Amino acid sequence: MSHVDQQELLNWLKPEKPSEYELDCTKKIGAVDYVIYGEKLKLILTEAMNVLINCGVSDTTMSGDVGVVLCTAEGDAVSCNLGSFMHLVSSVLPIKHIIRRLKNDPSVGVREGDFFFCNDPLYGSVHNSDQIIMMPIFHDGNLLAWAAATAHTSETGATEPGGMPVRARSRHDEGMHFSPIRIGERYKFRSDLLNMMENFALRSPRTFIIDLRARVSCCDRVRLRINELGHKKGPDFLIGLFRLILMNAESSARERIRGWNDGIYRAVVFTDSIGLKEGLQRVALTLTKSEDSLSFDFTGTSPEHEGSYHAFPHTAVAHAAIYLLGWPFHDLPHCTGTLAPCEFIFPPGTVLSPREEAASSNSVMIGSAIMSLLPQCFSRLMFDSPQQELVSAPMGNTGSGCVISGLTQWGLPVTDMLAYPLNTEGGGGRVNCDGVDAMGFPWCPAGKAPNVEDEENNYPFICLFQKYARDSCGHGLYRGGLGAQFAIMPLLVDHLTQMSHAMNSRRHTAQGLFGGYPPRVIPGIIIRNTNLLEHWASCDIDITDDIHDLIIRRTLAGEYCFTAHFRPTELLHKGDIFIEFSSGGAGYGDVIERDPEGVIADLCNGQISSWVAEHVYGIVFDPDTLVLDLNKSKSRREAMRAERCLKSLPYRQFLESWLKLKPPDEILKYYGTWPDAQPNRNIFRF
Amino acid sequence: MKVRITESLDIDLVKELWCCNRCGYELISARMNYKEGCLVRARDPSDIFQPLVKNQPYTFAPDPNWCRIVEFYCPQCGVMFENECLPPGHPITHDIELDLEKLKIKHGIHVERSKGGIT
Amino acid sequence: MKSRIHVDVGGTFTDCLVVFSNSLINAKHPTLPYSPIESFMATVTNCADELGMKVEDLLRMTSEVRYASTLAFNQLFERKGPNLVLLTTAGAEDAIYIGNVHWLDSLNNRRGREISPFAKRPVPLIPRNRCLGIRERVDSRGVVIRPLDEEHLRDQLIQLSMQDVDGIVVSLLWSFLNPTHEQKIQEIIINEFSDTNLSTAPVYLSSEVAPIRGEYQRTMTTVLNAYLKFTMQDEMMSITDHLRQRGYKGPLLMVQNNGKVTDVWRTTPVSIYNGGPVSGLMGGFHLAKQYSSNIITTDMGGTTFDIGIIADGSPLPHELQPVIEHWSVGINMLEVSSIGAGGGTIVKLNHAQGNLLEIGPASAGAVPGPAAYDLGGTEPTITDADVVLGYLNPEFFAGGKRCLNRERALRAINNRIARPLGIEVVEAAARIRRAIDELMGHTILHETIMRGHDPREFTLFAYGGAGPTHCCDYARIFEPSRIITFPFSPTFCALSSSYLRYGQTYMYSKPFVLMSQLGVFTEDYSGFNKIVSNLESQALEDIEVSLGEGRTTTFALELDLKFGGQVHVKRVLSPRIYLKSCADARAIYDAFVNAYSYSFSPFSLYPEGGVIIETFILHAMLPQEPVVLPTYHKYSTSASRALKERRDVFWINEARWISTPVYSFDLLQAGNIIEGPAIIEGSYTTYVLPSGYRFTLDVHLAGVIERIH
Repeated sequence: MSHVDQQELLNWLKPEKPSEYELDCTKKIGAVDYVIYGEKLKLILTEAMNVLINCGVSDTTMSGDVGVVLCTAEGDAVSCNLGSFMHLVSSVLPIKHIIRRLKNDPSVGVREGDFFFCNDPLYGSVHNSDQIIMMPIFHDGNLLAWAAATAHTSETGATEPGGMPVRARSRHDEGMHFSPIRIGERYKFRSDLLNMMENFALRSPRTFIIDLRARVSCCDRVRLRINELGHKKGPDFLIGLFRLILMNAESSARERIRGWNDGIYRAVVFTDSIGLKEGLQRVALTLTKSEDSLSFDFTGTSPEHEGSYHAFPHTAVAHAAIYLLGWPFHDLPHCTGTLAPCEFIFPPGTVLSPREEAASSNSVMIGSAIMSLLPQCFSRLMFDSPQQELVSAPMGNTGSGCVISGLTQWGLPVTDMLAYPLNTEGGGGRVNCDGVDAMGFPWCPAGKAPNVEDEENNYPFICLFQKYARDSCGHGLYRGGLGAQFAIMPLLVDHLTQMSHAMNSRRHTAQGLFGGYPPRVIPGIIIRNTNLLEHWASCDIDITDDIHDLIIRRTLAGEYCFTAHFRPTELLHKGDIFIEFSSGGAGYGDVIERDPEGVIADLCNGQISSWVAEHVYGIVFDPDTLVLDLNKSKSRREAMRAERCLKSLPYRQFLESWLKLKPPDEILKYYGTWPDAQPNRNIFRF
Repeated sequence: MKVRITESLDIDLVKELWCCNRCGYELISARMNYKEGCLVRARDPSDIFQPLVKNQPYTFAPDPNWCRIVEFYCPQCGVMFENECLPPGHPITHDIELDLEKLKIKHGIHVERSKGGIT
Repeated sequence: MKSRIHVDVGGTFTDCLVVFSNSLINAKHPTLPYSPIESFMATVTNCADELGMKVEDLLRMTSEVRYASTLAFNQLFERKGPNLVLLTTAGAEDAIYIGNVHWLDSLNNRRGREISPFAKRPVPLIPRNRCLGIRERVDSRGVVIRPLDEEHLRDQLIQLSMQDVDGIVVSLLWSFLNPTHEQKIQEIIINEFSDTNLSTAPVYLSSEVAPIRGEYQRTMTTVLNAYLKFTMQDEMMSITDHLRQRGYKGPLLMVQNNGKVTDVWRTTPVSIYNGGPVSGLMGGFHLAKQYSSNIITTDMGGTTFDIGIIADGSPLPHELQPVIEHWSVGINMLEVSSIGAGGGTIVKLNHAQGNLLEIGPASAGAVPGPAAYDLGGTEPTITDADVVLGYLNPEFFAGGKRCLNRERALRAINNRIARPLGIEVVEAAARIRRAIDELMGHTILHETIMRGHDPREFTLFAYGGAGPTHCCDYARIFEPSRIITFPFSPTFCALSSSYLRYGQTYMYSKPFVLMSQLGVFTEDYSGFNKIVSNLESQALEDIEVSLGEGRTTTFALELDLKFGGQVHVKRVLSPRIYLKSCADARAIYDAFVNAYSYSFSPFSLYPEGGVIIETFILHAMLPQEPVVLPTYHKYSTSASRALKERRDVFWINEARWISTPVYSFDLLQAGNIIEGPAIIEGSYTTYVLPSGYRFTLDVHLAGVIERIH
């Protein structure tokens, strides 16, 4: 079917072996030049990123789900400006496909003035909404480098608006998939191809075209600057610099790994949805550290299924890069050299290594499991090391993606995933402090939540709530950061459609760390047929300012619907309130050890409820004044400790009764065999 | 000598034992899963997460059919070393399996070469 | 004859430069943070003395006073501001706490690459429990969809009136389009709470302070202004009152961070933030025309080290996302980087990290100042190290106006650094000096290459009181092509403010279609022109009130434009102030397309979406006669007439005491050349010239320092 082998793609992530010529070039780079011009490369990409963000339109582009990457002539990524670290990985693979399969094909070739497009996950994209433009950079007729710009543009012409259809059963439900294809020649778009591509995205053609142009503008800026640099310092200089960056990155990464304790570190997480349906699935990681290498073995992960929550192996590695380059290797060059000491093992037929026709538009959903697994293993790896300060529980990694679609107040069709709920997830509790509240978008550390006024300027709805969500964090000695609450209602149009791809409504994927608790789960909530605007206009009822109180007290009449967090496309009418939450971060350490003054401060600031302060943290306080009673709190906590010992069992005894339990069969349909998660079904996709 | 391996767990490298970092309690051999030396309890999620709504299929508390919070305590002082949110009946994870010989060498403790490392 | 007075109040020193006829007279005095008028008048008096005049006579002849100050911002850094309350739309109370997400609000891409797992949110200026949600709502069209719930508001205000409230910031969603709710809240507070605690609390409306879209930036700009207003007002009023009493009749003009000056009553704390350093950048920009097109400006004062970059052909660098401390603000600010490294910076040992030598950022200020000031300071500072090493002459500091106590400096360094490390005092002082020079040098290197430049292609301007004392050593790190110091280096920012034009900016935010999706240009010329003429009238009225009648005002119009369907705007200088024809509209369109293509790419042009003006920005400016550098007759290269003595100096590079010639700057003449090692003592600064460097005094009495190869 495709011309790609998944294992081959994984191998392409390793830097190419350097030629003698390249190694000679490295010897010409002095120490001062290395620093100055390494920084210069980053700055060129920063400038290009600025172009991409300013020219782009979609909410996710504004939020920072983008990437600008500079690669060598052979396709190895040497520098980047991100956005999401995923795009470091996903830029390399389609470029290497062009180099290996198309460059020397006389019917295609690669020439100056060309630019290429790709969005097919089989060729390296994370999912088909993450679309990449790749532009070769020539110097005096010779290929010198590649620029790649990736941005997430929602609409792909799938069976549901927004490019991530939860009901997709195979790739054939997911709309536009392009393997690497040339869409521009002699610095101009091919209008026939542009037209064809635009027709895939007819639900939101303007967003599609503007974002596509933005990517090309971005690559073109990189091309211009690299050309200037090439003229100033000579191509040999750049070739030597690129190779030196890759070499230094790999040796620095290995040096760091050597400083950690050899051993085996294991973690398991669980998800509660395959996209199409609910179902328990397991994702398992065995991380082996030996000398200066790391091996990531995902054996024990649940088998593939009929839904869209799949990721191909390279996409799983792309998600691992988010944590690796954000935490343990955060200060090393962001290039593929840094990832070279890592080996990845994916047995075939799992949710992380499905067959080619599997739906994967929601790869980021299952990818989130990897983002929750790695902090577990690495925290244990790094605690007894110079990198102890990097130890932290994971973010919630829920990715509350809600897509709205319809006509804007300007009469134009639009489909977009809303940025605010994505960009306000709480950070995980850390080894020495709480997680950051509303830290950001787990996939992209540089993501930004928009102002209400920006959202309402672009879309025909009103944001009723956009603020912190109390109790959303994982509790612990150091709690996770809070997530946020968010609610919208169509205002300037009569209806919009919305759909949500998300998870964590039956259980959370993220685990706490060293005794911290995971964050709470998130139900899907819509309040239908309210007369909110009429009530507002007449001020006749007391409508609270917080979603939690609204759904508890129900002073606003309407039909309160509670569903799973992921929701297939449905209509939202004026009067319907769509509610969303972003996840808090997981907690770190034992709740009983959290400073009582800290708990009271959280309570006074409305970050936690009285219930949590009493029941979870064991704090005693005056309910009216919220003044702490330290002595009673101490006694209460002593009692909690005693209760723990009294109500628990020694390990072996515990296991006797525990292992007799099992979840209901109806939720294990997609799990695989219990409890080993081995394949036990035939999967039919049609 | 003791080395701190997690927030509340140490390894005594000479005795080769997992120990509680808070009270010093000696749990179990460092060649085994520390959890086997703990007191263990599985909790209903609504002990920790308030549902906020009643009689709904989806609330703000995880569904106990899908997960329980399995907590691992020090038998002496009751500190929680770790917890895992596991489906009911799921095996307990052996999360840390160190190469003790290498760890000892790193901290300057003499190791007899005949002892095996991790297989 | 008219004179002009320029004053720059820094953390440690207050600088004054008087332009009188063709002369430039400067003076420095330690800043007294609790009595800024004292230091202000001390410097003006010094200048008057030098002119042989009484202060009152000088002031009577002065046409304008230009003033830059950082004092208010100490309050910000120390979080010692007023108890404010924030009233905002219910449901969106966390706008400024969540910000645009990210602990480094208004993250720019450079800092973005340093995102670390270690970050924390800044402590908010208004605690969360003092932010109240108001039940009201205006939508994106400016239509009220939830009328202000006045009863609920009154309940909230009653609760508030029982607390300490020093100011109330009101920032509601979409208020810049429809300010009626904000105005109503202000009215209720003033009219109905006049006999409560709230009567003395000023009310700040975001729709007045910063009428721009984006509630986070609008609110933070208003909050910052509210936080700093009293302190700034106190400072300004005390100065204007005093000046009037002493005979001054002209305006007090504030230096702003957009590179302009404006009347003190028109300005806001946010717009004067970092005004002094920005002024220095502008000075560098003007002097660049005479000396080099690529300049790195460095200002080493008593408290901070400020760096600016001016690169050939590039427009003046504006902050892409202006930040004050940790918050995004909606203003147009020029870019100057600062670190805490000045003459008064305190040096410590970090015991937790194995007695690592730590430089700053805390400063000893002017009082008690360095230990050598003998005012009770016991912490060792950079100045103390320079005194111990012999670079600074204890008998001739600040032009002889202050004596330094070398013993105290020795003692401070010995007690805090040398003895704990088990080394000699001189060795400790040498380490201190080396550490700060490396810190400054690496910071400059970092800032330059972060902007994509090679510092070896740049000329370094070294000013500030301590600039010439350290410039050769910090320049070693990045090897600029040459270093230039100016005779008025110590008061450079004060001088530079003379280059700034008087300007005020007026904005109006409302979408205006310039070109439809079908490519048809607007014919609503009167609509466009009315917006502009309203802004012009406002400007003329304000200028008349501030500066009196008959001022020639020039206008420049900028427009924030975008293609339909896009989100981000591009600010463009409009080639037309008024529209009279289709050709005018087309001219604006062409300017937009050119600017867009240049800044971004022709690939992203999207005329099919039409073109929309989102904001009109009118700049009103008055012409400015800049100060011309005086020119002097060139003499021979020999500087022997200026040689006054020799003294032992411990040179860091050679790591030993060397008997070094000391020159008097005032006796040098244009054309003189001095080779290091040498010390040149001026009125307010000391030039340190190590071995391997040559100092040439040019015809403007600027010292050109080059490496001898």
